[in-house]
Order: sequence, then C-alpha cells, then structure tokens
Amino acid sequence: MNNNMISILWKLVKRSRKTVAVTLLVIVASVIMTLIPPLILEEIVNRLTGNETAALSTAFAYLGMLAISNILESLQNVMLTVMGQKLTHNVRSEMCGKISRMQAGYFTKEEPGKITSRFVNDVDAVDTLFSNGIVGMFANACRVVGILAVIFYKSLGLGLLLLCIMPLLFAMTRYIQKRMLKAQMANRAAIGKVNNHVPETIRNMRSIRTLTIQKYMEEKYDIYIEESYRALEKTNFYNSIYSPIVVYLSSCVIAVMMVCSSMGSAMQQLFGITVGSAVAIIAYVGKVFNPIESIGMEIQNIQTAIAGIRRIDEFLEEEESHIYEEEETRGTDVRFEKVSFAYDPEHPVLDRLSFTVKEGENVTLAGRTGAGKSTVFRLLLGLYEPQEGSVTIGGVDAGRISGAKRRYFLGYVEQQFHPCMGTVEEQITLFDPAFDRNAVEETSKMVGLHEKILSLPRGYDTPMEYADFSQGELQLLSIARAVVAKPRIMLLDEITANLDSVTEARVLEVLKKASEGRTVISISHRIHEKMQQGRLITIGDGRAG
Amino acid sequence: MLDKKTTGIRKIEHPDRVLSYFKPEKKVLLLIAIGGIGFNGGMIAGPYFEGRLAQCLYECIQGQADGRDMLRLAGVYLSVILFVQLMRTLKRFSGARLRNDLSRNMRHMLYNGIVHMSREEVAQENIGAIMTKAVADVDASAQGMQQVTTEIFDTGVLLGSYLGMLLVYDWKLTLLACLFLPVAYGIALSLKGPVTRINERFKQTAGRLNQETLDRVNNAVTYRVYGREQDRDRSYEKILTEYERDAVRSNMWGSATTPIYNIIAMSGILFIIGFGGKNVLGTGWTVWDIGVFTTYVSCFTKFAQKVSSSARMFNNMQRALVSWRRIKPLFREYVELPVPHKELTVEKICAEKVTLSYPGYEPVLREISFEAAKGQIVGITGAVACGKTALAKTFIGDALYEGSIRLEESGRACRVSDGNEMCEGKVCPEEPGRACRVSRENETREGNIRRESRELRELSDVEKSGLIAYMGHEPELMSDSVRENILLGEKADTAQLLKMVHMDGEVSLMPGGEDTYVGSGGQQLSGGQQARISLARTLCHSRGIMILDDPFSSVDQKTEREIFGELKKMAENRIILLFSHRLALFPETDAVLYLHDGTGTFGTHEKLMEENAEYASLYQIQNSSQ
Repeated sequence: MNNNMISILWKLVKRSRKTVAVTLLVIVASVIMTLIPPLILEEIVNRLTGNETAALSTAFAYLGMLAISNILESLQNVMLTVMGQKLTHNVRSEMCGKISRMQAGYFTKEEPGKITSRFVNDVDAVDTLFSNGIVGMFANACRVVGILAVIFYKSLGLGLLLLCIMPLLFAMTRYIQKRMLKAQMANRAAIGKVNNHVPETIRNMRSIRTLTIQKYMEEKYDIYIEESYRALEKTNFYNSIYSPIVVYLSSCVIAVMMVCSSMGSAMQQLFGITVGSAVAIIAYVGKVFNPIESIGMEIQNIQTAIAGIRRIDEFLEEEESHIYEEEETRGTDVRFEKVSFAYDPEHPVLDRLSFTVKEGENVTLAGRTGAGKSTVFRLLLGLYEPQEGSVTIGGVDAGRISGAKRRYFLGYVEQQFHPCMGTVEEQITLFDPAFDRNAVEETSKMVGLHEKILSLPRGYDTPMEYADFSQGELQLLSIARAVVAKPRIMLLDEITANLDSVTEARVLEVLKKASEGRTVISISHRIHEKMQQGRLITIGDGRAG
Repeated sequence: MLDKKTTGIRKIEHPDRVLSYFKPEKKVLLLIAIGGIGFNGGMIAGPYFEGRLAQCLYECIQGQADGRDMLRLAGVYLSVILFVQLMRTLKRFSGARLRNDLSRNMRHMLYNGIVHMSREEVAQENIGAIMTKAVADVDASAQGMQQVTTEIFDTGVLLGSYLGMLLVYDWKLTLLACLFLPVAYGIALSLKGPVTRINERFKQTAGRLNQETLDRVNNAVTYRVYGREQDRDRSYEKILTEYERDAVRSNMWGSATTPIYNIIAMSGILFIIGFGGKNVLGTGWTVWDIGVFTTYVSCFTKFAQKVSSSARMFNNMQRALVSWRRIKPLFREYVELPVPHKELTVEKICAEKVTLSYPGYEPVLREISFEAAKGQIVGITGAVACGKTALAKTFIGDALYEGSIRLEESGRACRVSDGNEMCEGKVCPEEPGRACRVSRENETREGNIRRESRELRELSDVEKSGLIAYMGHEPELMSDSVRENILLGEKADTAQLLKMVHMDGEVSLMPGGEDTYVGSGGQQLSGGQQARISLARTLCHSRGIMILDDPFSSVDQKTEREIFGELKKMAENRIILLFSHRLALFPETDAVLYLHDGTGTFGTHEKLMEENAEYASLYQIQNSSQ
C-alpha cells in the first residue's frame, strides 16, 4: 500500500487518540463479556445438579451480563462507524482539496463519472477495509482466542479437538468464499451489461425500430440476464450449503465431546467435565465458528478494497498545477508574446504566437478548427501554462491572477452552458455572496431573463432544471454568469454555435449591450460578421497573422 | 445464441400483478415448503437433544447410565441434526432460486415493454434514467417477494414450534416468561418512527453528498475559471461533516435499539432460572430433569432473539413494497412483433405536394414533389437546416407529412377472388390469407401481375422496416463487437460489407479484428469509423428503398467516390435517396432534389445547373475549391 492513504490514516490516528483507545477498549471488553454469561449458566446448572436452587442474584447477574455484552457489542459497532466515518471524511476532504490543485488537463482526460466513483465507491471501500477488514479481524481474532482459552481451561480434550478442526474449517471457508467471490464477480459483470442494455436500447431506439430488431435486442438482454442468473445460482448454492455444514460440524464436536466425557477412565480425564460445563461449552462451541467465517469474509473484504485504495492513491498522486504568488495588474491589456504551447509534446498547438489586445478593443480570433483558438482562452484563464513565451493581462502573468480576482477580470462564456447544482440565482452567482439579489436581478434584466425567471414557480429560488430553459435562454444565463461580476474582459467561445438564427439574433443583441465598455475577445465568424466591428486576429499555423 | 429450452425465462401474463410471477414457480414453492417445514419444525431438535445429552451426562456421572447410552443418544442427535440441516440447505437454496427466477422474469417482461415503447414514450424526459432505476427496483421487489414466502416458514413455523415446545414443558412458566415479549415488540414499534426518520435523513444526506460530488467534479473547470474553488471546497466540507454526523447517528440508532429489544425480550429468563430451577428440584409447577432445564433455556433464548429481530423483517418488506409500487405501472402485456418481409422491392416512389413537420411544430418544408424509380439514385441537398433530415425522417415515421408519398411495390401481387383481393401467402407477411385493403384506383396492371401502390403513412413500423432501410446522423452503435454491430442478428458476410465501406483495412488492424469491442455507444472508435460501421449496418440490412442521410460526412473525397461506386451497384434493384451537403457526386445521380426556402426543386443535375442559379453556384463553390 501507499504512503498517501497511510499518511491520512496515520494523521487521523494521531489526532483522535482518545477515540482509538476507547474503540480498542470496547472491543476487548466486548470479547470478554461474551465469555461470561455461559459461565454463569454453568454455575446455575452445577448448583441444580447438586440439588440447590440458584439465588435470585445469580439470575439477575445472568441477565445483566447478557445485557452488558449486548450493549458492548453495539457500542463496538458504533465506535467502528465513528472511526470509519472520520477516516472517510478525511479522505474525501483530501480528495476535494486535490481537485482544486489538479491540472486542468486532468478533467478532460478523465470522465467525470469515473472521478466521482473514486469519491463515492472507492472511499467506501476504504471504510470497508477499515471497519469490516482490519479492525473487524482484530475483534474476531480476540473472540476466537478468548473462547478457545475458556474451552481449554474447562476441557483440555475439547480444546485440542477444536484446535485440529479449526484450520480445516478455515480452509474450507476460504475455499467457498473464493468460489463465491468469483461467481459474484461474474454476476457483477453480467449485471453491468444488463444495466447498460436499457439506456442503450432507449438511445438506439430509432435503429431498433427501423430495423425491427426488437426481438434481437430482447434475446441479447435475455443472454445477459441468464449470465447473471447462472452466476447467482452458484453463489446461492455455496451460500446454502456453508452455514448448514458449519452447524453440523459443531453438532459433531458436541457429540464427540459428550461421548468422550461419558466414556470413563483416560478419556474422561482428558475431557472431564461436569454437566454445568457441558452446557456452557455447548454454548461456546456454537459461538466459536462464527468468528472464523467472519475472518474469512474480512480477508476477502481487504483484498477487494485494496483495488479501491490504489485508485485513490493514484488520484492523490496526480500531478498538480503550480501555484504562483499573486501580483498587482496595471490595466487590462492582453498580451501574447511568442507563446508556444502543446497539450502533448508531439502535437504542438501554438508556435510563437504574439498579439496584443488593448483595453476596450473588440477582437475576433479566426482560424481553422484545431488551430488553437480555444487554447488561447485557456491560457488566458490560467488553466494551462505556455511552454514558452508569456501570456499577460495588465502586465501580469495570467497564472498569477488569483482565482478570487479572476472573475472580475475575465468573463468567459462557452459554447455550452454548464449548469451547477442549486437554484437559478446560484447559476448566476455561482454561490458567491458578493452578489446580492439586486445585482442578480440587474444582470438578468440586462440579459433579458428577468421575466422568464420570475415566471418560474419560485422565481430566483427555483431549483435549476435544464428543461425549464431553452437553448438560447441557457446561453443567456451563461452570459449573466459572466457579466454579473462586471469583468473588464469578455471571452466568448463560439457562443451561438448551437442556436437557430432567431435565437442567435437575440443573444447577439444582449451581447452587444454586455460588451459595451469592455474588451471583447471572441471566437466565431458569425459574430464577427453580424456585429460588424473590431479587428480580426487569424491564428493559423500557430502564428498570429 | 441462447438455447431457449434450457433457460427458464418466461413471458408472464398480467405482468403488473405480483401473483402472476409466482404462477410458473410451483415446483420451487413446493421445495421451499418442504424445506421450510422440515427445517423450522426441526429447529427445536437442537436444543432438545443438547438438553438430553446434558441429562445423559448427568446420569453417567451419577452412574445411572453408561457410555453406550450416550453413544446411542449422540448417534440419534447427529442424524436428526443432519436431516434438519439438509432441510435447511433445501430451504435456503430454493428460496434463493425463487428470487432469482422472479427477478429474471420481471426483468424480461420489463425489457419487453421498454424495447416496444412508442415514440412518445421514448421522447419523455429522463426516460433512460427512469427505466434504469426501474431495473434496479426489480431486484428489491424480487427480494421482498422471496422474503414474504420464506418468512411464512421462518417466522410462522419456527416461532410456532418453539412456542409449542416451551408450552409443553411448562405452560405457566412459558406464559410468565413471554410477558415481556409484547413489551419488547411494543417498544420496537414505537421506536420504528424515529429510526426510519433518521435513516431517511441519512439517505437524503448521502444523496446530497453524491450530487455535490458529481457537481464539484463535473464543474471543476467552471469553478476554477470563476475562482469559486475554495468556496466550493468549504461547501463540500460542510456536507461531509453533515454526512459523517448522520451516518454515525443512523448507525447508533440502528445498533443501539436491537440490544435493547433483545434484553427486554430476554427478561423472562429471570422467571425461568427461578421457577425452572424449582421444577428441577421438584418443588415447582411441573417436574423437570436437568436436560429439560437446559433445553428450555436455550429454546427461550432463540425464541426471544427471533421475536426481537422480526421487526427488521417488516422493514425489508416495506421497502420491497415501495419498489414494487414504483415499477408496477411500467409493466406492459408481452408484445411480439411480426417479422417484416424483407424481399419486397419497390418500383417507384411518388411524392406529391408533400408538407413536412415534426410532431407539434410548424412545417419544415412545403409542397415538395419528386419521383424515384427502381435502379435510381436521387441526390437530395440544400443549405444547413434546410429540412433534409426531416425529409429523411419522414420515411421512418419520425416526421409527419401532408400530401402524398406513394410506394409502388412489385412483390406484392394480389389475386382477385370473389371481389375480395386475397394475398398470396408468400408475399403478405403479416397475416397470410388476410384480405388486402387495396382500392382499385391504386392498381396498375402489368401482364397479370398487379402492382399495389400504398400511401407511406398507412404502413406500420414493421411494414416500413421491410421496405425501407435508413441511415441517420447518429451511428447508434451498441456496446458490442464490430461484427455484431453490423449484423444485429442478420446473417451476412461482414468482411465484404466492411470492404464496401472501406473499413476492412482499419478493422484488420484492430486488436480483435471484427470481434473488437467498440465501447459504449462506439466511443472507442473515431467518429468516421462509427459512421462507416453504421453505413455497413445499413447496407447489411438493405431494403427496396435506402434512405442515406449524410453517409459521407466523415470520409474523404476519394473514399466517398469509391463507396458511391458500391452504392451504384446496389441500386440496380433498389431506390436510393442520398442526402448530402457535398455535391461532388451529384452529377452521377439520376435526379436531384434541391431544398431551399422551405420548399424544393426537382430535376436532373444538368437541368438544375442550368435553371437554378443557387444550386449551380453551390456546386461551383464546392467543386472549384478542390
């Protein structure tokens, strides 16, 4: 395993020493307490065989001990949850912080679904590894040792017998568990296909209908559910036989013990037990096999969880972007000086690109697809750093403008609106308390969305729903998000590419208003043509022309 | 493919009723009953014999019995336990089998409904997510159905036999000891409310955490660009803290309440130790030996545990019921479509004054007229968003039209009998022997075979799929191999088809050749490869009319020309409508429909070049720059 996860775990243990100590204490106490009730029962039975009734206090002691052992077991459970939750909380915090430091390229390289799965599933695996793995194994090992100790003390013969049987039982347990895991994996793979088939069917409905392959699709689906069925059947089989085998085995142990104890002479010496201890031991034998099954399961949990932990470590080890010290800007002139940039060394995108955009200028970037127009924006936004040359805004490297200030410098509107979780108002503010309702209303009035938003069930506080807005309105929302901070420079990346001409006209109208008194850099021929203004910078072969 | 006989997948009548799914499961239900009664009835054997063994040991020590008695008793004990555990295995396995069967048939039925959904249903918001969730609900429902079935035995028979045994030993003591059970049960019920509420809350927090994680990851770049990262991190930290608190709280209530029920239920043990002890000593209500005492104690312990855990069972059933209610309205009666007749050829397409629109929208195109005959390729073009795709989609019923589009089929010969035309079995696939609805004015005689001309909108989806092959913009690839994506259940020479679309070379370089997995939605292939596989698929499923909407959008000119050559060969006994914005090949088509200004002009390429300045300039611009 890796330093990263271990260091998180270690930090946590150091920080919450008390909780750790309490947890360990509870585990040990719980183990000891489960040993006691059968001993009291033994005492009661032994007294009865000696023709004495048990004192009422003994009866209460029995119930009391049962209660305490039950409560301790629950407490152990709770403590494990507390510890596990603290751990996962820390891991998730760490991962979230990592997102902020991650290089921008990571988010285009990895699917969001996969990254989210690391946060959710893989971190849960850490919890499993911890609670149902390492700690659980410790508790169960204690339990086995405790019970064996009592049995050895009561009956040497039975102790030896169990010592012989337990490794065999453990081997069988692992064998069955491994088989089951294999079947479960097969089932999971099949279920993956089953689950994928449904959205795929809906996505490809046109082909399915025009080809009349409904039957074919159904047969495919049937194959997948059959695969899952067969795998499950296997799991079910092992599941059904395991516990009966263990119960039968413990019955055999009890029978052997009883027969040997009644044999007299040498055997009885070895097993020599009273009726009372026979009753207690029967109770113990029933309990000693459970932890064995649990330990087997815990080994498995650890094995499967390790993959998740590796993935988290990989995530935490991803390269981070540089953090530079902030610098004060002077003006808002945008300057590219001999900028060379490549996402990967084999495919250079920009080659010694130089241009300047003065404050208040209106400029359109032109060039064929893939010439690097959007890359220019990404460099300006500080998402990437040029390999050579410099990108400056107001004389300061783009990367040295702090996140907090960037929004007041650069308003970036993309081809597509990216809705975030939350209300309509939060789509515009992006949770920034610096913009109050007045500012938001003013902005949406400017982009012409005010009436539309008021018509929603809860106005600005309506939870964002994609379906509530048309394509054009979403784009206006995008503009509102950018201009609410009254940025000095607007970056517009093909913002009308997905719009029909009527909507486009509306968006352009708004844009004209929004760009008054600002520097505007846009990518789009259509805007350039329709707005009939500004300079054209051609980016081709990596150089500005 | 799947051997139908060896699988137990069944279609279910009335799939929206729970009992329908139990109908085919009679054998499994019988096994569950045998196992359930055998095992649960026999459960008391354990405590009973363990008590007898202790008693026997006592007698041995007292000298009243010897090792042989013990051996005999142990033998009986082991064989009874063996029987009981075999029954248990049977019960467990058949219970799991029942659940597996139920879920398999429910999935099968649900999917049948999904794959036969109407256009309107498919167009619903979030339908994919709804259906995917529904499939997950199937599992919960099947689990609940199985639990109800097995619990009849597990709770009913088991509790009954425990209680019966306890009553037989000493009914007064039993009643006394059981006094606390209703108390435990009552407390369990009264705490159920808060416990579920806390669990509910935890679930909601978990949902919110998931959402917020997805939002943080999805919008990572947006938040960075707007400088909101630190704020988002703080907000995430807040939800993490909430999640931690709710998780611990929910776990605490869950695990703290069980021992409480347990202890209360177990309180009766006080009476048992007191009065039971008296029984052993001969001063109680009945006379017990030490064996009975131990049996009674362990029986009662198990009984009390079972009672206090049965509350959990009701929770599970509740959950299953909720799942079932969610999926119940999604079930439909089983649909089986007829097989389309694929050998039909179409002599002629005749479109007259056609006005097109998408359902619920203004018309896209008006007054379009054109004709195409067997053996012809008709090129259809126009500016971006001129309505090409709408016209293509009209042929598969996704866009609506007014006016008339008639298809003249030659394979569909009809014979006159008593004034009613009867289809010859071979050519009328839907219902052999059914009277065709053919009106006289639509027939043309040609020798003694009459051609039937039918209005496109009157054809069912299945009939259309027998006449028309369609390739749209979306490649609609399945997550399967290259070969399967082309064949989709058809039998054909895929190597030949790949050659026709000029992809044989690329495919042979792929790691698995034609068996290479294309990824979900074909995402492991480039856009151009996806489009060509889609074309190969359409060629594999070729019909009398081929509608190809922009098949060359992602291939270079040379490849385009070569594929066009293949299409020309195919066109011999077909009609091909080729929708394209690239006009280089249009001189080689038999006719051109040029869409402009919401309508269309039809003629040969040469005629349009002469008479339509717009078309001519479009063609010139494209072909001079090359």
